[in-house]
Amino acid sequence: MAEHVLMIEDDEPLAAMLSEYLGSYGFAVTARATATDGLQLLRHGRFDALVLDVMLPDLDGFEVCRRVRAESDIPILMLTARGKDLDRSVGLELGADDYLPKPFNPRELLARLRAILRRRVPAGMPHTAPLRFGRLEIDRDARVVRVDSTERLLTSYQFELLCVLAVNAGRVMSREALLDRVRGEELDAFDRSIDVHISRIRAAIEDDPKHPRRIITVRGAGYVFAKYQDDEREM
Amino acid sequence: MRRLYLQIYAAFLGILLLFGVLVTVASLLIPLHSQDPQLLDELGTVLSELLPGLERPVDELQAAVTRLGRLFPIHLTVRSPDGVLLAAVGPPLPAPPPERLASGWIRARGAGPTVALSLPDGRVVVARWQPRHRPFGLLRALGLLAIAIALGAYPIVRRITRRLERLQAQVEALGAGDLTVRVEVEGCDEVAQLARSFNHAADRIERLVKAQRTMLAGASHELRSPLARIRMAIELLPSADRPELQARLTQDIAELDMLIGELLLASRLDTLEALEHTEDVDMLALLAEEGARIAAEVSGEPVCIQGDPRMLRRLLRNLFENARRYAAGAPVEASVLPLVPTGVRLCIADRGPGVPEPERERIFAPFYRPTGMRERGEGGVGLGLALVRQIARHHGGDVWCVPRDGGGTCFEVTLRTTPERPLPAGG
Repeated sequence: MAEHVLMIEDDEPLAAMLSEYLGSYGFAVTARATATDGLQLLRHGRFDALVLDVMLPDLDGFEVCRRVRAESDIPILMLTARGKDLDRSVGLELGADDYLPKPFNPRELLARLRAILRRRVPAGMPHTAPLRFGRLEIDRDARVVRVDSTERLLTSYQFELLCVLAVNAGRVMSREALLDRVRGEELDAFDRSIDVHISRIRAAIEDDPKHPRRIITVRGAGYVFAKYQDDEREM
Repeated sequence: MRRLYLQIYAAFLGILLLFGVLVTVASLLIPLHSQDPQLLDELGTVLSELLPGLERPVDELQAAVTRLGRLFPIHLTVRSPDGVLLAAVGPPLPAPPPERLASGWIRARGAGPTVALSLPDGRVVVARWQPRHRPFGLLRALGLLAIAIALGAYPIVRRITRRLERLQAQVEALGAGDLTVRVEVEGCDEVAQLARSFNHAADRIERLVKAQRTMLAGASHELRSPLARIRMAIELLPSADRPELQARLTQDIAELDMLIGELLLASRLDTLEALEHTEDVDMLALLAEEGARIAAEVSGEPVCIQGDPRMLRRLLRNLFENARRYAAGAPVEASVLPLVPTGVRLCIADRGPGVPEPERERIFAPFYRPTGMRERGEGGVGLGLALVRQIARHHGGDVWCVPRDGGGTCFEVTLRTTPERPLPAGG
């Protein structure tokens, strides 16, 4: 059965194209141009996810997010074309599950929508938020790595190593620090096998493992996991 | 003396002192005997009518003089034309100097007004006013006036200048970026008018800045929404038709989006007094991350600074993008080193054609593009390096373009570990 997405987006041509695009991937999309209509529909219908624009004619998208979250745990993906850096953190603090700035890559929107739908956890189940970096998703509960929603195979040790790098994204991690934090195989700091593990991870997640952009070697210092790569816009 | 109220107060006291000096000098310089000689001669004639003549016995003269002494608060001495004392009431007063034949005033230190009157018969009467209650002297009165003004002027001057000081504090607060400050308007004088004008100006500035922020937020929405539609439309086109054209369009949209971001950021940085959001940023990691986009060779030591991670990323991305554009295929090298004691120095070096000396500073001006770039449609709109400089300065540092040994260019950036104060110049 197709998953049903409610889209509250006042840019009607964009909403129509998005509906068509998501429809081609098996989603049923209902679009509304105002917050009032969207909220009313949400109360009376059954939806699996909400795609919400931040700038709406009648109500701020953040306020819509707050109201929805007060009475529902439906996954919310927010879209914005505003230039504010804080929008992302505000949206996530208010309970949005993910956030995408316009103009976005539709495939990224699709991947993120699938990701937040996968994340729905039955009540009472322990849940660790997946790590998401552009097209890369690290699901620590399922111990699965996906790029563009496609699973990539890693050994248990490589998965642990990737998690340690991703949790410390934006910081240079020396080999010693990585060995300290990764549980599992006993490796020596001078043992280059950690480099072999890194190359395997790169082969699994990088578009071009010979020119890695996600896990980068810093000569004489270690490795750094890039926070922003692909075509993500962070400004 | 810097405080305004002390200057005004000192001016008050100075004026009083000058006035006192002038009065004293004038009283010393104006000759007393020049005052009304005719009146004194006539007074002598009247007195000769009241006193017994020269031929009368001295006792009779003494009795007349004593009677006058009772009637008026004066000391009086009568002398013969040759200066012999004939009669006196009170202590005998000295005879006027022999060269003084006419009536006139006599200056006497510490005594009251003294006058010598020549009678028509040649006798000389010397009289001194002896007030029963000693009145204030002129200098004493001036002294009291000075004290009164000194005491009264201080609170007045202080009140005026305190309002100016409050106004100054608010002007400084406004200049430091607090657009909500206003001054309490007291009274209706010029200072109150100045406060009113300041409040009016502050209102206007606040409205303009708010309008600009709203405009910036709106501009981002208005410009990026159509881009989102175009991007979406490209995705819906059948990919079999000219995929290279689709890729080119996607790339163009990304460039346009970046340009919008740069324009909005440049406008925002122009009005930004202090960084709104800072956190610990590992500059070596950030350098490696951004360098990886163009396969740069990165080296250095891990150094953390307090900064805005998005702005610092923009700074590095622009420098790497600039180096890639001019490096002509040669690897770009980047390094980061701690700058003892409170900063960090970054260097992004290429082996491109280099920047001619006259242009090394100009390239940081907004919308400046080196000769040839504009004609070839390369190099963006010329905002990249201007943004680099703005961001570096917001982090307490700066950026310089220096020639590289062996050919090429090196962009050196300094940043403070904590961005409150600028680093000393000297790239």
